[in-house]
Amino acid sequence: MPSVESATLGSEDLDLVTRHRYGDEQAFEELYGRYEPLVYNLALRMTGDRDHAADLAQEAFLRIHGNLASYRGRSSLKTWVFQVALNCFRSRLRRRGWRRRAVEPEEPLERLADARRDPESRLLAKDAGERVQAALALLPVPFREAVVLRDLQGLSYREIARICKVRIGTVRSRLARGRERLRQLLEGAE
Amino acid sequence: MSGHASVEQLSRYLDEELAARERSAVEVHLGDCASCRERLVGLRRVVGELERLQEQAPPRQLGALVRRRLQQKRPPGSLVARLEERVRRVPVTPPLLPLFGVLLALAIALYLLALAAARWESSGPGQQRPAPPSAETAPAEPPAAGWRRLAGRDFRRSGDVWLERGVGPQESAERVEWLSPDLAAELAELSDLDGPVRLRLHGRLVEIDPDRLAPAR
Repeated sequence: MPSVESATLGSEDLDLVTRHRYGDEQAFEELYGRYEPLVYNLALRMTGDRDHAADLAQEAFLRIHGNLASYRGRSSLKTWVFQVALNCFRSRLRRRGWRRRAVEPEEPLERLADARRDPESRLLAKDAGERVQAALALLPVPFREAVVLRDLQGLSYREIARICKVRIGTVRSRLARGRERLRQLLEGAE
Repeated sequence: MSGHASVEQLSRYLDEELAARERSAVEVHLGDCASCRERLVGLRRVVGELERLQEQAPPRQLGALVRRRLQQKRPPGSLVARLEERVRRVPVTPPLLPLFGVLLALAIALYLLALAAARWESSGPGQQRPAPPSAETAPAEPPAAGWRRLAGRDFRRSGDVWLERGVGPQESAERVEWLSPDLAAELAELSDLDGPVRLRLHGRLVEIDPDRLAPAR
């Protein structure tokens, strides 16, 4: 898997940031066009809900617009953008009302296995993609972050460590435990 | 290799993140252990299913919503920055330039007058003139290299922590896990700092982890 960091830490990104700093509105438009699908899909996989994902992506881009001038190029722009988006996600988790729907990972495994209990569970049995997404939503947030960033966004362990502000050893552990829990959830649902 | 391979070893094996020696040991063990092989197959299947999740197209109106909210948002920064932004956006046509110059001169004159009046008041009869600013009491410079300005405060990294300007690395701080919603909102920008932050809040030196502050219930 190619390292995203090496692919994007280019002069193009720094050029975009410089233009934005000097008030070129088009620079943010270009950045938006480049990162909109990535940020939206990251938000979608973290929240498991399209409305929440759109809302979260909006907030992330507002924050990116406000803070872009302070980006110093120490990591790739993509890493920085993901870091901002995940910070927005964590901030939202702290707010009341959002938590229940977006996360509450510690649910019993049987919930996935019992297709009769609620519509969400029925969906799980119907479509493989929905099943995986639902299982993802049941992971504790730190595990989910590691799994989404690695297996869906293709980031390296080092990039994930930088985004989550943890050591590489912690990334290894969270990723392994997240994958293992997903394996149990998905096997339990079959 | 003694015992079974750990989940972490299997997960890193899948990502080709094991060093050559450990990788060989895991491969030898996998050759002998059906249980670990089965677990590896399960993990590989999970990764495969995740990779098969298709990228979803963002809603069409998302870009328009972001642009609209950006237009509604007040320009960030200080009052001066906001005023500068407003002035920058006002189209200045040639006939308005002289008027603008006169207004600017008037504003500067008023400002100087107000400054003089304030000085006269503070150094009136019977009152002592304030000492000229020393190096310690001089107003803070704009953030130099190594400093970050967030939430109207300046911070620099010292080891694993971020220290507000004026806080020494040896000063002991009270660890705080909870802030009021207003204070949390005021300090929300600190979440851009990676690691604990020591700062003065209402006269107390506190240490907070911006990512772990519990929300108000």
